[in-house]
Amino acid sequence: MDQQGDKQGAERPKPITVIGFEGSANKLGVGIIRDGEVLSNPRHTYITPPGQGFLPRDTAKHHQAHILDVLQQALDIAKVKPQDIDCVAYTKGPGMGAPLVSTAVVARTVAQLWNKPLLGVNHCIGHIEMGRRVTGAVNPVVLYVSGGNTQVIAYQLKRYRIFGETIDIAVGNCLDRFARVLKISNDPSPGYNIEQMAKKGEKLIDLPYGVKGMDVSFSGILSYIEDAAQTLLDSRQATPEDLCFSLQETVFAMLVEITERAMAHCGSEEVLIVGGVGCNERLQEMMGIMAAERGAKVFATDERYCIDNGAMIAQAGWEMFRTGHTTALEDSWCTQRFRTDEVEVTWRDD
Amino acid sequence: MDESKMATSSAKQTVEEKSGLLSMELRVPFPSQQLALVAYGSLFPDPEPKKEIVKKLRVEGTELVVLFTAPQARLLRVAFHSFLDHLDMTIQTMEKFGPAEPQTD
Repeated sequence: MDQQGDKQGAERPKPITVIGFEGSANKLGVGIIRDGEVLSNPRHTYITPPGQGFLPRDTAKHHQAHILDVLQQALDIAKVKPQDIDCVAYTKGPGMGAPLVSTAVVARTVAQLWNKPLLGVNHCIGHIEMGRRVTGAVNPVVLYVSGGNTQVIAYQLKRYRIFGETIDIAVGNCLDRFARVLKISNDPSPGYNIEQMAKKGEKLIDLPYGVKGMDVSFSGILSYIEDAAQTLLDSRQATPEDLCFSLQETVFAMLVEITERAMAHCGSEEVLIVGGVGCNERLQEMMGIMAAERGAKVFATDERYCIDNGAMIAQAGWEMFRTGHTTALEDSWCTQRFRTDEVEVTWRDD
Repeated sequence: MDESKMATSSAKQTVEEKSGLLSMELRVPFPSQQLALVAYGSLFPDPEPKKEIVKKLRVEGTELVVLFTAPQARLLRVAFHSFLDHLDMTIQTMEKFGPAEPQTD
């Protein structure tokens, strides 16, 4: 073994291959990354009927039913054998408890069966690192927007620091719950269907605007539009398309505003949009207008990487593993709350 | 009858308080101690979400032994139910990705 290792390792460092397990919300994904290259990234999404959200217990059941098939797909597509893997990364948090644990149990089991180190990854860090990897953004202000999280983040002194965030519900949660009011389909996602309907909206309905300093608030906007929707539709003052359009324009304007303020504060010329809401092209467009005015550049990814996936956990895991991180089994518990700035960013030297 | 109806909720609490903690032991046999240890390693790290429920795992020979204690039957059932789901996951994972797969060393 040693002699073989010497022969192989003489020229250049051995590539590092990391498998990542993600299951913190309704997407279940397993991805394999080798030195920044995505070898596979299959995903299975739990889609609920129109008008219904996803509950922790049912989502956990979904993950339990599909995880072994998704894992097998990830290995097959990547043409990777367990012995080729250097590290098993999984989402430690934040997210929904039961789905997180269901996914982590399988990650812990394969790590032990294959005799590989285990690594717990912060889900938000996964989004940031995958976004940086895919887009090539070097030191961006990051807008992380999804069904569970809304944060404006900038890197400083070994931490991804949160400059602004939601003080109540996530922007994606606001959109998802609005979709339930109108019984918009959850397939492929409520946000995608709102985006398509919003393209046909013509009338901008006045909605509350919830920016509080560097933070944003969406629950009041949601309550307002939930109450107003039926009246506006019944009296033909607005179409469902108008409501989708108005809601998007309002909440995205808020996000662009706090992102711009963070950029001004940090003197940053890059914005990276990550998270499931980040694949909304209208949000990307609005961000682009703001950035152009500042001489800055917007980086965004498509639905393969914006939406929760296994490769993003593998990518953050790869960065962590190569700088010496691993997680002992006794420290591998999952946590519903796990702030982005709790993680020391050992892999960046800037 | 009237008396018991009126006292239902408080009487129930008193019974459970008087009887102390409920406990339940689960013994899961594995083909080898190695696999019992893998199951242990996969299932012990997550504490119960409710702190009044205590779940203690250990390996005895080739068996995984789990002791649950809780102040109420209802809580015990919830903890036990989700534990069985996770146990099933780890066993299925062993069957599909376990020792039949070639090992590194």
